[in-house]
Amino acid sequence: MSHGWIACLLAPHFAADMVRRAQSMNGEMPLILAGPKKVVACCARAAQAGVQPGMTVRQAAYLCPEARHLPFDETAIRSAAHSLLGMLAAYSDALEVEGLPQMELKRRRPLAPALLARQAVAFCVNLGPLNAADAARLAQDMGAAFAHESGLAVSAGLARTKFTAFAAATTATGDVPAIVPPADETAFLSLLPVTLLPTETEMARRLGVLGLTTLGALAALPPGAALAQFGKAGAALSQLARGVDHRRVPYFSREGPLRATCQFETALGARDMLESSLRGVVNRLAARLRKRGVMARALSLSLKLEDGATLSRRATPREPVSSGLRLTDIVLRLFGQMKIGGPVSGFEIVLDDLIPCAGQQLPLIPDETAEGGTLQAALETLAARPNAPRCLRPIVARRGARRIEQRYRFEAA
Amino acid sequence: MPDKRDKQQRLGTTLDNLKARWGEAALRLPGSGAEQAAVASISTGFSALDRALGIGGVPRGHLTLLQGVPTSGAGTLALKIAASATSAGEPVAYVDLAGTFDADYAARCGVDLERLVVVQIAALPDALDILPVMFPAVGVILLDPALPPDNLTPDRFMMRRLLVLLHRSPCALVALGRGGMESLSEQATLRLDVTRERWLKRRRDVQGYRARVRITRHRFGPVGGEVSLTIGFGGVVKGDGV
Repeated sequence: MSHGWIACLLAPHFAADMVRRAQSMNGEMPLILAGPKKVVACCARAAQAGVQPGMTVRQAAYLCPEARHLPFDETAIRSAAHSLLGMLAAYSDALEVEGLPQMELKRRRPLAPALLARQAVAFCVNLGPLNAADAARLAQDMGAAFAHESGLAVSAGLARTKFTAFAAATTATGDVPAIVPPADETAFLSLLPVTLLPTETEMARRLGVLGLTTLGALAALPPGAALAQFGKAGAALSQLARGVDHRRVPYFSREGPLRATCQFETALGARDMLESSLRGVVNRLAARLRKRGVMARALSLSLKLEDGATLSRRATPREPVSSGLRLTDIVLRLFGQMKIGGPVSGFEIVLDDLIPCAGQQLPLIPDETAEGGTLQAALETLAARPNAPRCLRPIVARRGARRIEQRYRFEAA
Repeated sequence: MPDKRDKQQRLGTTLDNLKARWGEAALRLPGSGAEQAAVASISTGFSALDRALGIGGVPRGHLTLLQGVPTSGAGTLALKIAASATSAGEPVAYVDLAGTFDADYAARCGVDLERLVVVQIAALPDALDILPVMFPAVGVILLDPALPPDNLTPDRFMMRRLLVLLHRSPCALVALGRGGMESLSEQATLRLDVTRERWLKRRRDVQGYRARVRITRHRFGPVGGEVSLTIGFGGVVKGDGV
């Protein structure tokens, strides 16, 4: 469960409208963005004529003959979204974008059918633990700044979890954000359609066949029944429908990558000498990381051999790193994996995907409150860290259940 | 030739000089009860083992390592220590790197689940990084590493910082050692090797097992002692040693 307010800005037909603005096109002319054969995105007018992403270009031309066709440039759309994220980063470091159109229709994570139908892009921002009035004002300011920067009409939702904020944004009208107080989440979600849930097509079909058309109907199912009928994915959807969403808004990386290169006067063949050079460079990189107050989420090592060949390895640690010793450990592990055919004339280390380190306020006066209070304070301190662990409390669910795993469940501490 | 009394006098003078220069805690005579009495501890839940340890259990403010392969009894011993702490009203944190925490077994070992927090985190160095936040807040931290242990071993500076903060707190850090934990093993104040001797069966049913605990390292008491623990599974997990 989030510890702060999450604002969601929803921009329908994001890709087509951004291209239209970039090309200074007439707003009345329908616009279709297509790959080599298939439509990837279109504007609202083309969508009204029946054009959908995934259909062939010929089908789209038949349905909307007056539309202008432009090639879909995924890099440009991503770059536009990234610059908007940079603008939103003035409000919070934890923000992400979801639903950007892509050339490949198969996605790693399913998106909500409602999001796909509107070709909307959702920008989620964790505003932190503010009071409701401040959070609402901030969300409204953010929506206005977004609309001014992008020239798009956006709707904003504000809630304690990502999913509820997204659902709220779909119901918002005008410039005023839709706010869902924590106590009203279940009631608010109950009447909304299940198409707001991030589901695969097959899951959406099964929900429809069983008559589960609203989030309230899905939430009313006992968790065990949802698990038995739809598996783990169904149980997760059932939780979302009840307003329980443990997904965090990740930290946004504004920093460019940190690079360090080393070129030898004469190529080195001895591994221990190369390791020594790597250690030195990594330590300097770690010092630069500390100076900038950031941690790296990815790291790559490239070796340039004397014959001109290049060997590269990349690692993504399970948690962001800034410690010189851990960075050294990872770099030496990558180096150990490389089969070097000849002397090395130089190397390059790149620390990528940098995120800010979270500061920790040390207590000036020892806390002498009760133990429970101290534990709660410790858990809150842990939750504020960027790599926060999951802290759970076991709760008795069904004491006499035959299956051991059904006797207890875990709740966020 | 100096007589025995002269030697004793010179030894006393040397000791006094050393203590004056390095502090009272710089020297201790083996077997002296003064330091043992000063060490706060938490019972292991097995009175025979508490007696063998000499300080009444595992020391607070120090690292205890329970070495043993899975099913040796090390995990049960750790949960019994947690049960002692929760029965005294102290919160306990279970740092679950392996993702194998069994709430049902913990409850059967006597752990009060209302006073237990399970912390799930990916890697051992990250776990050691967050532990100081919890030291002042809990009585016992059980550290259950992943199997096999990840190869990102904590560096010595991190370990030094961890132990300094641990010494200042009333928390007992109990780690389960399952191989690949050399850095923790070197820093442990108390190290217990746990091995399962045999299963206890009645007809074909396994009723429990007998485990042998050997004290292989102990800063505050005698080393080399062995205790045999009988652990029964019938409903509540219980047992005691001889």
